[in-house]
Amino acid sequence: MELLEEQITGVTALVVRGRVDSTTAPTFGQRLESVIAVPKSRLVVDFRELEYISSAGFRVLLVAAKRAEDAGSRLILCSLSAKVRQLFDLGGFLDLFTIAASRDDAILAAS
Amino acid sequence: MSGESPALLVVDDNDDNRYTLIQRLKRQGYINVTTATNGVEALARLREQPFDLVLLDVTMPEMNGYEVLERLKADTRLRHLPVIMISAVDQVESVVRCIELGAEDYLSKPFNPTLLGARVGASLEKKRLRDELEAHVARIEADLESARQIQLSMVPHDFPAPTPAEPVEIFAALHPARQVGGDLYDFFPLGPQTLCVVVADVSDKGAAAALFMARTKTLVRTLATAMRGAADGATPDPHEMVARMNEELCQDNPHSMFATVLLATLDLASRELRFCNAGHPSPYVVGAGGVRALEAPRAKPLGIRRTSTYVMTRRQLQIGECLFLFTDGVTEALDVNGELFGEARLEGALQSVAEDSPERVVSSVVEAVRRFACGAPQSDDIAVVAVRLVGEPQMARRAVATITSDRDVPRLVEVLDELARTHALDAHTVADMQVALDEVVSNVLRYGFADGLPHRIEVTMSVDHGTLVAEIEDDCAPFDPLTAALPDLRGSLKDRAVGGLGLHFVRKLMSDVNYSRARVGNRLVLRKAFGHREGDFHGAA
Repeated sequence: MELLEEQITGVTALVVRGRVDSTTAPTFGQRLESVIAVPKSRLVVDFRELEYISSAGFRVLLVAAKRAEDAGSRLILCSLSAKVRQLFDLGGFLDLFTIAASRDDAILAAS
Repeated sequence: MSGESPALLVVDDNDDNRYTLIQRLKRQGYINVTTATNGVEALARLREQPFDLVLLDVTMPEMNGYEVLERLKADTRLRHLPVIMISAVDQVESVVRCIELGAEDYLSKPFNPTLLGARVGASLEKKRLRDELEAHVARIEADLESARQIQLSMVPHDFPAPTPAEPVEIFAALHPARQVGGDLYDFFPLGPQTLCVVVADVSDKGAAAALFMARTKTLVRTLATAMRGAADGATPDPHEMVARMNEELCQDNPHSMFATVLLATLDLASRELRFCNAGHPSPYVVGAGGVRALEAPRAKPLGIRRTSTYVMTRRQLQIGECLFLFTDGVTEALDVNGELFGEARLEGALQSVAEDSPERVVSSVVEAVRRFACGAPQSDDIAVVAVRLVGEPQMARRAVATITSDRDVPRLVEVLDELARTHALDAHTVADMQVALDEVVSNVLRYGFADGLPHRIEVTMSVDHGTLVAEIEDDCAPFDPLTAALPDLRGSLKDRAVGGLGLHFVRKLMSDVNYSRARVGNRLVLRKAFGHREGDFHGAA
């Protein structure tokens, strides 16, 4: 897994490349935490290059989403591939997170 | 010559004549005039520099005009250089002889300025036209030659040696009748352990056929990739591919070009040959058992009717047998008497090399056709391909990863990736298995290893009849993950727990999950069928 961070007009965009599983999820979680813990921050997580995400990855996403609520921050996911969308669907997460079709939509929704 | 004054050579032994001629020519604008006083000198000048026209006196000492003319006409570089003979008025006989020898025209002394101007002008104009024509022809030749190189490089020339994983030998040849032609062959892997082989023959010959050949050639591979992608990695069948090719070739084809095609897939493991014949000659199977034609229903060539239907025929090949595909340029090759090479001669040529390598099979046929034609011009394009099965594919069917702590989990991912590469498994199948393994193994690490004692998990992955299988064995306390409660997938963010989610994924993503108690510990077998459309196994899960 690789994480690429960009700053776009007050929004942090985090591109997740590769695989989020039990091995890589802790690193992913720490990075989410470091952005989202700042009160009123805005984070877009771009899954365009994500191959798959296992339950360990969903666990850190859930933790991050709860943290965001507490900190008054915004967490928006975007660009889910068919495979990743299927996993979100199986886990019942499609309605739980804010999910945008594209990065541009996500940034618009975050700002 | 263009833009500059044409280069003229005046050959005369008489000083006065030379002087008069040069003056007259200069007056008419021909300023680039070289002189020679005899035949020997003239030939020396002609070899030194290019000229556009020679004015040559008939009567000279040392070497007279006839001899110079004869030498020029015998020299391939100077043969086309126009020569105007100069003679005395009474030398009609000799002028006739010079014209017979190839002189362009003649002028008699004393010179009439108008005639001189007209004849020099006409000769130069004729030379200019001939030069232009030659340049034009050379340009077309060069164009066709580079087209030929491009066309020949469009078909594969790398014939990979057999490997344990792909125990198959291939050889092929393409010989257009003209510079370019409408025949093609191709071969490429169509999936794990499946080889696709194709030959095609476009109607007509030459440049038009070559363009349609390029279109057909590109289509085969593009469609193969697209159809595999759409079928989640499953190998498309020959008649499905041929039908799609036909649809494409019927589009934007106002000149009704068409192509006959023989497309075959060969499963290297089962040795089943599947093929579709669209108006093409029947292929042969050659081996210890002799030579047999693979007869099959012959559908319409491609590009004729959009609604043509295509069927698939299956045959079993034996190890050691060779599949031979060809175009009708072989059987319809003509000898000098207009007789056809025919099927009997082809079968004879194949019989003589029945148990040889594909390279020998191909060269035997090509050589037999060449000997038969014996100098007669090649009447049609020729393409031949031979594919021989040399053994059973030996593949790394199993891969094992041993896990004794969290640190070993990445190894699991690597081992599966490697197996996936070997078997060319599709990304969806691999992702699903990676997720399932991650869930199962991290669960065992969290709960099974919680007693603080040393434990190990052994994961054996294999590919078996279109199914990716993972067997996970551990030496931990008995636990059947299939009895775990299903997670509650409802509820808001606040009260959402993720316990049980991993095993829920495993059950949803796998085609089959089986738990059994091992002598020590647990054994879980995950199966993921691939080569099906996404929906197929979801219904079953």
